[in-house]
Amino acid sequence: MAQRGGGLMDLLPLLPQALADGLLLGGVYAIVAVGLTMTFGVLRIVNFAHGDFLAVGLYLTYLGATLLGLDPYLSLVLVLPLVTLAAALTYKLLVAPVIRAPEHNQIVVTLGLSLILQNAMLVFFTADLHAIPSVLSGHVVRFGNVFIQAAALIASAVSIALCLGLYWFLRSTELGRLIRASAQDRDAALLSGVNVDRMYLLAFCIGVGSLGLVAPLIAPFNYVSPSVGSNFTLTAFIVVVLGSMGNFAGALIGGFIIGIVEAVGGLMTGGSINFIITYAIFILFLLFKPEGLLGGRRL
Amino acid sequence: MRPMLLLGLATALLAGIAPLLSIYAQHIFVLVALYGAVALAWNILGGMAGQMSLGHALFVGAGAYVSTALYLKFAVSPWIGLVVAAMLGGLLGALMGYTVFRRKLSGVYFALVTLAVAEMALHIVSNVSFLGAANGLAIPSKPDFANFQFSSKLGFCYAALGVLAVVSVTILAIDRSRLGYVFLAIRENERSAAALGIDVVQGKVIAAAISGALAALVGPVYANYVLFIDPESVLGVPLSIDALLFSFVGGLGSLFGPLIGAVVLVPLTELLRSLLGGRLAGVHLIVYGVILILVMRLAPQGLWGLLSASMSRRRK
Repeated sequence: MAQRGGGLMDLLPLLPQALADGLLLGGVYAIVAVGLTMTFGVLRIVNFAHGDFLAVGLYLTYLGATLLGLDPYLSLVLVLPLVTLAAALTYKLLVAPVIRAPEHNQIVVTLGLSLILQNAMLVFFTADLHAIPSVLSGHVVRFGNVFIQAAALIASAVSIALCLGLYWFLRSTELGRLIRASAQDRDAALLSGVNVDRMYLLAFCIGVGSLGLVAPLIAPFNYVSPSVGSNFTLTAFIVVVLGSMGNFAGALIGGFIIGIVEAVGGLMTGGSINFIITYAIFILFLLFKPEGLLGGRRL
Repeated sequence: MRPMLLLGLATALLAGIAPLLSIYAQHIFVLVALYGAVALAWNILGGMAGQMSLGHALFVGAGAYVSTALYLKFAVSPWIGLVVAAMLGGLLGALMGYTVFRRKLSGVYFALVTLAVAEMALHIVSNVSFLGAANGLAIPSKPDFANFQFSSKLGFCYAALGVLAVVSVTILAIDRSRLGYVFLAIRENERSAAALGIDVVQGKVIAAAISGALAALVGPVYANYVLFIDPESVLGVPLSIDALLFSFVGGLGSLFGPLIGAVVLVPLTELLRSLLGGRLAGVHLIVYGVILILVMRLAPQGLWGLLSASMSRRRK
């Protein structure tokens, strides 16, 4: 910090680029948090393996690229169904048995799953970082002095679309109504003839399966490593809490805020302590505004 | 006072066995005692009072760093560092508990906050050059009782056993006192506890403070045993998960189940490590994950629960 004796004025020209980077990073956080908004925010399932499914998706994309020569955008057709299938299996085998158990049990079971997934990837793929090339990898869009990777722009756009889409789905479709009913009052929904278990399965598959859509989209501008998921898990939880549990618009805003804070904070402090700022924001929010940015309204 | 007597006997027995062990077995002895102490400390908050922490590495790391920094930078004996560590751990626990519990936030929030605070501490320490930043702090080897460094592993066996005994005595004392019932009432049903006139927030804050103080005791002993600490090893998520894991596998509700978890899993880890070498770094953690899920599904009371169930069956 001290060595930046020139003061803040010198950094000012860099600010637009940092803001743009922050928005794009925020888009990635938001898109990962959207799935968690569904499972944690709406269903109240505590899934500490959320980010690891993203890592699984990234490695599937990597395998698609190395074994089949698929561009990440093409491997979408493979990765999305596979991750969704993994989500369904996870729900059936691990989550459903503890769905009505205390939060403790859900935390422990999903932590166990996270340990298994992360270290299985470590054993199979080692800790080496991998980049996954795409046709869009080198492409940069220029706005004035601001440079933006085309792939990151696409991911952010999809992130916004996904948030709006899921919001609309839960709000306005019959299935969405059934899911909300199941989450709000399980017994009342059962009495009204809703197949609650199936609704939970569906919503969990959407929430976790969305990472199968996210992984190929962020693959062109992210490295893959076994621990990439755990970095995202805590940030995603923070974004969900910040955005008021279960509120998709909130998750979008929360994601962008964290992204911008990390990018601008990194610019001003030299880069390495942006995590500290994120966690500090989270703790301050819990202290002073635990209901999140958009108040206590659920959806 | 019978449990206290039993505890004294068990400690004396272990102290008697320690000199007979091989050097390698003494190493395992130290690890089991230290991990066991962390797990037992975790269980005061997580098991007895029912508030799950995902960040107990914070306390161990704070203890390790404060005593090591005091010793290296100000030549303060680690014996004093041990006391400072416990006070710091207690303070951190109380602060963190007060912050969250005052807001009446549910369990998962506490888990998230503890995780976030521990991670924050890790990143802060990684950036503070006074504390060695990401490279960590190395303690020069000067075996001397005053330096909390012993010329043989046996000395560390006794030090680790001592910490374990302090933690165990505290647990028994809590269990015998009104505080034990307060924790139990809070764990089982917060609303009824409050209706009975129990100050729920205060109870949880006390649990967090005691748990933090005892976990912090392990830090200085560990630091002086391996003579090196860095943010990943004493503040990292894996240590926090170990504490939780040993407690769940050993038996969450029980007083000393977490110790059984450490007794079974620590040697298992060392065995797997020596069998597989460095080639398959993550295998023991995969095993941990599977064990965790299996215990949760098949024996939610943990090994302690299984043992006591089979004992009572035999008695009939």
